Amino acid sequence: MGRQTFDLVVVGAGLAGLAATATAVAASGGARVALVHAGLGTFVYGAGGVADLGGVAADHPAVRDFRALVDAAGVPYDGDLGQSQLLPTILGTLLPVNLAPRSLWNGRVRSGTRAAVVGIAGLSAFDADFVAERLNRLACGCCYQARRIELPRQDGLPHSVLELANRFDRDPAFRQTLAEQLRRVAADYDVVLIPAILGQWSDAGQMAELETAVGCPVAEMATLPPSVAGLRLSNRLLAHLRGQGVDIFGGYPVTALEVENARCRGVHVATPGHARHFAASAVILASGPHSANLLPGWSGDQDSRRRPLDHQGRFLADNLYLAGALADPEARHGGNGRAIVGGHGAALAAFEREDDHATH
Amino acid sequence: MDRTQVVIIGGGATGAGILWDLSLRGIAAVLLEKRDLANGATGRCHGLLHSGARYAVKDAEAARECLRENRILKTIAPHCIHDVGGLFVRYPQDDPAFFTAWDRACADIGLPTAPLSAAEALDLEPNLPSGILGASTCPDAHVDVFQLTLSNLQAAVARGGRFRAYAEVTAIERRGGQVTGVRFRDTLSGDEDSIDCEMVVNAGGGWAQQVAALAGLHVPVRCDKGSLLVLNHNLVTRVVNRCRKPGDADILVPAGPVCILGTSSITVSGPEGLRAETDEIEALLKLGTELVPCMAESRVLRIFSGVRPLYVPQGADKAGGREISRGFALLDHGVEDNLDGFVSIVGGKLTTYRLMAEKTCDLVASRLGVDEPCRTAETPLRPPTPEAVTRKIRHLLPAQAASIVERRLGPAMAQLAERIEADPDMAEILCECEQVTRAEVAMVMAVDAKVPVRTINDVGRRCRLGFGSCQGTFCGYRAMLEGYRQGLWPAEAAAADFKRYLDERWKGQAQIPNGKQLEQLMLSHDLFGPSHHFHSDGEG
Ligand SMILES: Cc1cc2nc3c(=O)[nH]c(=O)nc-3n(C[C@H](O)[C@H](O)[C@H](O)COP(=O)(O)OP(=O)(O)OC[C@H]3O[C@@H](n4cnc5c(N)ncnc54)[C@H](O)[C@@H]3O)c2cc1C
Repeated sequence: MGRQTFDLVVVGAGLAGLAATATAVAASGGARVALVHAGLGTFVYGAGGVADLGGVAADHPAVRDFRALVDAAGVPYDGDLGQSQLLPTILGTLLPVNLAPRSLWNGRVRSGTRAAVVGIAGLSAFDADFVAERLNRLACGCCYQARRIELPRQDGLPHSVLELANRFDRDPAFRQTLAEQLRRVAADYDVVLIPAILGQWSDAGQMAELETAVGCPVAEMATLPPSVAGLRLSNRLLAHLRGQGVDIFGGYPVTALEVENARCRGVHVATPGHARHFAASAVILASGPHSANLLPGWSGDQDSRRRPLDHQGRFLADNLYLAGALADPEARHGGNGRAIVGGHGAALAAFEREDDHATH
Repeated sequence: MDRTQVVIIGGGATGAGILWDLSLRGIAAVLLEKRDLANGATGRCHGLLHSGARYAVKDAEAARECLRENRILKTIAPHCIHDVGGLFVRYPQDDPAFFTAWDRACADIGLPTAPLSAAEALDLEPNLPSGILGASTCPDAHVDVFQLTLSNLQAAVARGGRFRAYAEVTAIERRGGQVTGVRFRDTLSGDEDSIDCEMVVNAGGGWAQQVAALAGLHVPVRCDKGSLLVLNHNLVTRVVNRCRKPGDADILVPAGPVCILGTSSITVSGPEGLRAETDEIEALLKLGTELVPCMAESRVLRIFSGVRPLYVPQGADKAGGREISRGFALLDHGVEDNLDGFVSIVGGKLTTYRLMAEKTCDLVASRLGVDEPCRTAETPLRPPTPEAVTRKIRHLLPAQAASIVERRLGPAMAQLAERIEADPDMAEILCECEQVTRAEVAMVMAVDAKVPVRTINDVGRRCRLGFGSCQGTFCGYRAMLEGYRQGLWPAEAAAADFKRYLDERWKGQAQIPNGKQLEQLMLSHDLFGPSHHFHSDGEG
């Protein structure tokens, strides 16, 4: 007990780890892949918009593969890497992005549109008046108006985004009430903007159903954590990968890598009760910017195959690869695109495939 | 032109205590503070309500003063004090001669202590190192400095005193040898204004020298910087002192959900632009782990520094209008410098703020020919809470929130209940760490609040919102929106203030060591920068 063997262990469920896992599954043909993660990726704060690819070409296969992945997972992205658009935020700012999950993308600034910013009575974490007032000052060519809807309360309590999302997931009557309320507002507008509450698990089909019932596009705005749009993306991607045969171990931190004679033999994981060890033929570390302590002796550099190097320029292990913000500290800022490209590249390197658009 | 009898400069504990004391004596007074209450040493201190035990060996008189004030404050302001008690712990590496000297000195001044064996001490505080030799109890306590300052101000305002924040005194007017008033500037709007008065009290703490210079006088003050580390756990449940000659990082004070380690002592050139240096922080942490070894694994939430204003008299014991107690100095500039109506109160400790206020107001009253005695030692800072109000709040709020809010609001919980009954949504908790409801935030923001707010940070100083481990990342945003809804600020001003608020928090955390709190900080950056395009350089 306590020991399992994999062809590849990916550490971290941010966009880098998810992209690496998906790429590995597709590239390896039947390899045993494990994804170990301690929490959710940073992308959930912002719901996964992609703005910057760190200099790689817009038609990079990593991006193509990622779009295929999110389509298959039921959370498709819209947009065009060649052209940046602006998404309104709950702080009344405009966030430039190229690609975003459809429900966010719906809210992009389009000149001449009339948008209703819809608040929900009893949900204090979002203020439609505040958002509309600030957006209108930006004079971006759209007209924003604050509106308000009432949704049934549970036990008379104030709403929270999670509570609303869970009801959206589970309760068809709630979905219908929401659609009716929004339709009443929508009559005067080209698009309705709402805080992200449309389910933690909902897929593109359910969103489309809602829009049909409302009669116009419905756009979500990510709230402060928990951001339901981000959770949905994370949930659906993980579920999709599990469906592809990936073994997913969520909630447990990797405490150490087992490295011996320049070879990574596996990872140690802290699970309640007993420590576990996963043996691996290759390991991708995509565990975020705060996990450099897993790499004693690392100089901060990596080789062209994304392997971490020591101060003498030798790789720490010939089968250990990096991806995401750990490998690329710059990627913290607008790093979703870089994470996707990095995760993709690390997975190809792990299976000895040349990345045809290699960046190094 | 506004008029009053006395203008007080400086809204720390001392200035607030003076406003309360004067108001109780029926003397009209206005307190001007250049930022918000407790902006200076008061808001940046350790929050230890000294029992005097720390000073017993070296300075019996200062120790007696602390002991007296400790007892008084526990009676008049119990809602500001967590009476946790203190331990003086004997470490094997410290001088045993000091242990005996300490026992004797405490006994001499009547300071109640009780000896504990090492096993007994470890039983009470399991995080102490197992090698300790023993300990003694003492009546140390933790004082919530914001609550204490706020309570003094609220009590004073209820009796006609006036407090004005964001009012920096820029000139002290004089005609011949007599003070006639002050000019001040609103530090948020830039507006200038003035007040005529008969007397001016300089309670500028570390700024006392600069304040005196506004009247053309020299008050020599040395600024002694101390830095403190806020740790995310309650490593101890009592104040833990190291039983030795006072030095760096030998006190750990439990303060609600966190505990505070301090302090260092470094002479600096002035009270502004304070910053803890990296080696200073490392040294504090190293000594801290001697005190409580498991500190090595705990998380540093925040680091802050304050200055102790030390009065350094030239020709120290020159007689005159100067009453020098051990800890503080009261300067009557009418006698000292031929400027009637100007008084400076310098030095001291938070623990002795009331006594400093008493001495100052005795002098002010005598100059004004007012014959009212000081009554602050007997008068509770806040009336008791009617039982019915407590019951009502327990019915309206979850148990945890109810018990915390009772300390903060006392009888004002009646207004809290009114707001929640009028709109049950106001019971929502905006700040989980400190259990602050929307209703409480709305009360704090009300235009008729006794001590009004103008920024999100001010809200924190009234009700502790944003003081917990999220450091305002989430609840600061919620408070901003609440202020917008209450009409306190329009959307643009709200957003601008929230940006400043985040900036200040981020700066305050810039030097914390690696670890969980750094992750929290990066989360905050990621959230408002890349994810919401709120705080990146690109946005105007
Ligand atoms: C690190 C540290 C730890 C400490 N720990 C303790 C402790 O545990 N226990 C204890 O009893 N004491 C402690 N002290 C001492 C205690 O903090 C101070 O003695 C006390 O807070 C001083 O209060 P104050 O009101 O006199 O001064 P301050 O709190 O400094 O108030 C002065 C105020 O004047 C304002 N001001 C300045 N210039 C102007 C102007 N021109 N116009 C208007 N306003 C102006 C400032 O903004 C400031 O708010 C500590 C001090 C430090 C530095």
